[in-house]
Amino acid sequence: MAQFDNQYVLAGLLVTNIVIYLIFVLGLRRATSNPLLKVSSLDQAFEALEKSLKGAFPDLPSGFTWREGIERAKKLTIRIDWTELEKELRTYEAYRYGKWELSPSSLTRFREVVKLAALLPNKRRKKICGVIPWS
Amino acid sequence: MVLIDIKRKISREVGKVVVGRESEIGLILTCFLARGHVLLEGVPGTSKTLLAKAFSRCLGLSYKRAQFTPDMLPLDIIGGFIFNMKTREFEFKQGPIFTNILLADEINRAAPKVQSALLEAMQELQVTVEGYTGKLPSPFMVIATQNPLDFEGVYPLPESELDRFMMKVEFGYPSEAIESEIINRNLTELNLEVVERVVSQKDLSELFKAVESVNVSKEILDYVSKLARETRSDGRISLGASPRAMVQLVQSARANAVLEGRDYVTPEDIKSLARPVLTHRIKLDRSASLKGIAPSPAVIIQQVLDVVTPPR
Repeated sequence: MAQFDNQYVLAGLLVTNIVIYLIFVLGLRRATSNPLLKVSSLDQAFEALEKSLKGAFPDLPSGFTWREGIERAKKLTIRIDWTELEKELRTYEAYRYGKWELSPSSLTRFREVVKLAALLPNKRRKKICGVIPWS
Repeated sequence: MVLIDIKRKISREVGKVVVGRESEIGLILTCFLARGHVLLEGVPGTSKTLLAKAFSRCLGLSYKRAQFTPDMLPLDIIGGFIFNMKTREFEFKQGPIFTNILLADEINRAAPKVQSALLEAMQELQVTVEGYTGKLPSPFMVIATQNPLDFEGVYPLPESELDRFMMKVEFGYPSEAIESEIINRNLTELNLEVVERVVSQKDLSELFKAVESVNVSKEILDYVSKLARETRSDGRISLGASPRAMVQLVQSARANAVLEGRDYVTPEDIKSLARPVLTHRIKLDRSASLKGIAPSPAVIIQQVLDVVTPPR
């Protein structure tokens, strides 16, 4: 009887082990497949932000500007350094619309932009599952 | 430092006599730096004239005022030839237009003939009378005020005249708190002497140079031309934005960039100025208006801005 119980315990532990490892592997795969982790340039950071803003605010008109989108994001009380984000946006604008070549170091300042892109809720994705958060 | 501070300084000086009009002051300054002319529209008694006077005073430029009336003649504005008894010759006597800032008060009370007299001056900065061409001083700006068109005894400005105004700035009624402040200030006589000159001639030339050196990227130009096309293809509009309108939109965006401390134009500049620069130039389709499917020009411009994707 005791041997029979031990077999069940062993099998249970084995299944638990497999489940734990599976969750870990899946989590790791999902995390590494996150496009935000692959952002390596100012352009890519703002591209990611654009996607996130569109996902977070489906009613945002297609003619929105960065500041309009960021103003909407501010209302969600996301914890990021907004002053630093403003600086990063200013650098991007100077690079994007200005005629001056920027130094390589200034082109790598996009931490808060990526952070905001990652923290914005994706209403479009959740809506498909029938749940609309933040509403 | 001068370039960044200028907006604040002018707002502060004009604010000594005009309360709660910071955004309007900003638009007039933008228009001035972009070498444009501005049309101020609002009901009587909303401090349009006072603001124009205070504005020219703090820039330290020559200023003249012409009160437009139905019996006015073009001669009263641009001047004309007067016979000099001593020299026995006709001499050109300059009209009030020969100044840096001309306040054309209640411009839509004058007949279209007089309104048209301003066309050459506003576009080419010169006047021609009987073969004589006189250059206007530089900088030259017309600040015109007009009453809403549903008022008695007003002539609507022709499209060609409206198109020459870079911006139309609307003067609504002030808020309760600001109105109370206005009444309080007017308990004692308002003295324009308190408005001091805050910009030197050198600063002004620096500012104009800075505006001219502001970069406008190819993508921004494409964005502006897309906006223009959108106003022309909208079924609710019979007259869309002209090429001159779009040139002036870009020019005003450059001036705005300088006031914001930048040397490049962003889509934000274009969007924030599209309404004051474009609304007075577009004409609603009459049938759409009668059917009630055409909202106000300001709403249509906003819808156009919402549809056209700016470069990001």
